[in-house]
Amino acid sequence: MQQEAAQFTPVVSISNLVKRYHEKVAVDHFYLTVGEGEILGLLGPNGSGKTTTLNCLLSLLKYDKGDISVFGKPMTPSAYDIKRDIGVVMQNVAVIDALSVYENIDFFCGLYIRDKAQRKRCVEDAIAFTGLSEYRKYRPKKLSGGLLRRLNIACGIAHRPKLIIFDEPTVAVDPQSRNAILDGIRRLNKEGTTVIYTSHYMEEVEELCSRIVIIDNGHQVAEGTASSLKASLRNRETTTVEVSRITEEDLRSLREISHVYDVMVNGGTLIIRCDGGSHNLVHIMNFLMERGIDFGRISTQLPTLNDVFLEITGKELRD
Amino acid sequence: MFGHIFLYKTKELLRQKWCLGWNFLFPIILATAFYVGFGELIDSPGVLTEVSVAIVQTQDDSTADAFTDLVRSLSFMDVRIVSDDEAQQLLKDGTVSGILYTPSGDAAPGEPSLAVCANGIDQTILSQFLKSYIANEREMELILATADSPDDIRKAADLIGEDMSFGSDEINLRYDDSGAKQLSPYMHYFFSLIAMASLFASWISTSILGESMASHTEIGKRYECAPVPKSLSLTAGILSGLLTQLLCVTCLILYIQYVLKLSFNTPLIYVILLTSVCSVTGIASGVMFGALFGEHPSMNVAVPLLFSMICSFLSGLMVGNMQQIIQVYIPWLNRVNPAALLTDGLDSLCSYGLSSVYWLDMLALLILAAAAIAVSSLILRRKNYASL
Repeated sequence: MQQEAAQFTPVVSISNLVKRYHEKVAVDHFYLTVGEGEILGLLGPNGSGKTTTLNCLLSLLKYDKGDISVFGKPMTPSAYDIKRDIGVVMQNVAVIDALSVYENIDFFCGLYIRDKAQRKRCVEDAIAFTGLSEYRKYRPKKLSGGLLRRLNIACGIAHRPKLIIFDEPTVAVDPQSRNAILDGIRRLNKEGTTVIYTSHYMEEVEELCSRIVIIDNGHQVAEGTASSLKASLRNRETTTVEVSRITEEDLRSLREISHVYDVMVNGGTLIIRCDGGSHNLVHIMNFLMERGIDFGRISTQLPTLNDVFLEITGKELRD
Repeated sequence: MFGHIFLYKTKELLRQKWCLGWNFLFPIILATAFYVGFGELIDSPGVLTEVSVAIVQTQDDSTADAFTDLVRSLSFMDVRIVSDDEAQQLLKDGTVSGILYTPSGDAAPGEPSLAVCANGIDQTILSQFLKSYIANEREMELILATADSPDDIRKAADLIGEDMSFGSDEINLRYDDSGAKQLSPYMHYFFSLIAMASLFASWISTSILGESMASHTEIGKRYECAPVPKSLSLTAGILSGLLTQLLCVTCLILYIQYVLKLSFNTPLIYVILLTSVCSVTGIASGVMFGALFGEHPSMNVAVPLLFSMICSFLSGLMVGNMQQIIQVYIPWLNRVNPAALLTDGLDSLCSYGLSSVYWLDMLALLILAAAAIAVSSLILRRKNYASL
């Protein structure tokens, strides 16, 4: 559904993007389309090419090959009419220490909006939006890490852009501030803003994004909604059971249970993978009781985006 | 947009502790230290009386005669040629401030010596004169031993002769029989200090450039993502840096004139004008350093600092006659050193009033600034980042 929307109203279109740093290929024939009103998650491990792609998209970096257009127009360093509608929240906090919270937001907003009255309204809205009202006169050095991140966001969104790019905005942020940031992004999206969100935190991307592009070694390895990506996995459910002893015969019989496709023992832990079906846990417990196998804790886990990444690339997202 | 960036940049700079510390307070503190260190030596030349000195000719030869003639030729010396006993009595009475023994006296063979019985301005002048005489004599001997051409010898002789005719640059008097205003030679140190303060502008512009470039800082990325031409944001930032710098050096000049009460002997507007032009050169140099080395954060501090300190040293900030020494051995260096150009211009302005030297020095500073801007423009226009 989202892909269809992207095809009709592309806010961002990247095709065949190649970016090399000397011999290393950072972005390798990368394609991306972002539709209006989407929250697109760009997920990949550190060094996978997420930030490089965004820097190319923003024309901060020159690239070796490919075409990038935003709002249907080619993106160039001097495409000021396009830049006016883009907001960027950098991975690292980019604020001016000598200016107060209000002044920082006003200064960066002023680079986009000339009209003072309009700018004032935008700044006030951004302050309220990020919950910085009581800190408006504070200098950045007096703010906590979470508040500083909020200020960083306020500086990037105050001019009410149509497209906002968040580059790992929750790195080194406490859970409370992280939730506030994610809530804020959702609210912006509800107001009609298109969002590109990069992260290597799969839980955040899964929770927030309407569509996810998984990137590794500079190229796209998977794309879709969180549920469609997980549905593409053979592994739908993983059950782990603490057992005191189990024989080879028991393991062979376990594999014969419907939907069980993989059984292994790791120390005292039995790991059973199922490729679908329902009531798998009940079937496994019945089997263990029938065979008189003593067991302790049992847990069952649904697949994550990490499993998707693991299955496609053979490595973990956080490797 | 320009005004928005200019106002905020100025506000930012005026709140930066490093800017206030190094560009505003440090030169004022150093000026105060100079003032305290030089003490009474920086008295106004107008109230200075002649220095009474007794000369004792220890040997009747041409070297002693030449030395005596030299001392007698100095307009600020009241000389009495007497015997050693008479000289001791005059010194005891306080009639003379010191006794100069001609070369081959009790001191090391071939060198004159001085005897005083108190501390004061007169005694310091005599001491400095003697040190300068001995230093020049040694310098001449060295030049004669190492000179490659008669031209070198002539230049050195001219320089030393000129030095001697005024006593010494180290002495706090500068007399010129041609009618020039009397200016304390110690003011040269303050001129070098003003030059150093002006060149500290290079820090400001290096920092401003760094903040505007995506390859240098995260804030630079914000600028380059914004719909503002890089040239506009840079120009606004640099002009705010220049304004801040002008405020700092103007305060320094006013402090020297009105708080330390050291007269420039000239309308301050001309001093401020030349200093402002030197600050422009400092700002332009900083932009060039930022463009050349700005991607390496440590260079952003090290290069402007080294530039300011080396230029100031070569203009005489630590060694008063450094500029003259350079004029003998590497004269072109004084023509490309903005600090030397400023001190030369101020020396000329405060001694002789507005003259061609003042305007030529200003022109040279402007040419240096234009060259630095041209180099920076070439580098920055080609900047299209391959990596961030």
